[in-house]
Amino acid sequence: MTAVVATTKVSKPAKSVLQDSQQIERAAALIRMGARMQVLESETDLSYERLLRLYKEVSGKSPSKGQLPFSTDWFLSWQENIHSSLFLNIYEYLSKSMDMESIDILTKAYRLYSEQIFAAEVDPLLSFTRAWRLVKFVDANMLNMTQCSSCGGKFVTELYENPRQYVCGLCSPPARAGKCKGERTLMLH
Amino acid sequence: MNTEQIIAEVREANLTYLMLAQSLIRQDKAESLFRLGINEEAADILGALSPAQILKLASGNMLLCHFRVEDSLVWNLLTNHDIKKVGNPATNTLHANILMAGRVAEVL
Repeated sequence: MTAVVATTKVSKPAKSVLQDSQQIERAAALIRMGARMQVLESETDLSYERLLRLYKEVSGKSPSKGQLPFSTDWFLSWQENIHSSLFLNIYEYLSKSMDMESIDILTKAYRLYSEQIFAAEVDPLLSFTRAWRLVKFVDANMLNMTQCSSCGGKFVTELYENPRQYVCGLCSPPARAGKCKGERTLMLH
Repeated sequence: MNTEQIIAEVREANLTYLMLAQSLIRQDKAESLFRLGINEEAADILGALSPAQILKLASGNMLLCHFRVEDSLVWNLLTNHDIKKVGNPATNTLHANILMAGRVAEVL
């Protein structure tokens, strides 16, 4: 095992220490926002072992195991769709306003989303990992945004939603919407 | 309110706005673009202004900040007024936020 590690270390080009510290800083920031291991592995160049150690050090516990939820459906149910759409609108706004790395846009957009949700006194339904997943789904053309024909806002939808007929969940809420019990969930009245 | 008072009030509002904008821009430019609804070029100029320039800029008789809200729908959602179906303030606020965050034209 040690021999294998040693050879891979030799074969890799010399890493910049500065870049390494930036990566650790970024990974730590992501962990604080609640990112799971899969996000860290994808967004930084650090090894799994180092990320694991860092995770335990920053959050004080072992990362949750298991796969990430892999379904586009989650983003389409009523309440979740409102949260996802708000986040994605902020994300698009930031990505168009300035040239930044996508992970920085993601963290900034997530912070702004959390602020707005906090101000509206609602629980943040969209976790950081979900938000990251959402951006990946949009990049992979598995979800996109469609403009509501009634209010003109852009909402997360399936790829082939007809924009002429599409009406968002806020302009015409489905029958069961807003019936969810809970103090800080979205209601209709 | 007489003219003198109006100008004094406008100047104060301008000064507060410019100082807030400048500190937001210097803290985190990307976030400030979203909060202020201005483009990168304007943010660069505002962020680089000296205190003397800010004072000079603030001392006109015109307000320098303007409304983000342009259409009656967003007004109604934010004031929770004249809404047919949804009467919940939190839900309406989020709806308004989605509409306002969707206006990317202001940063281009």
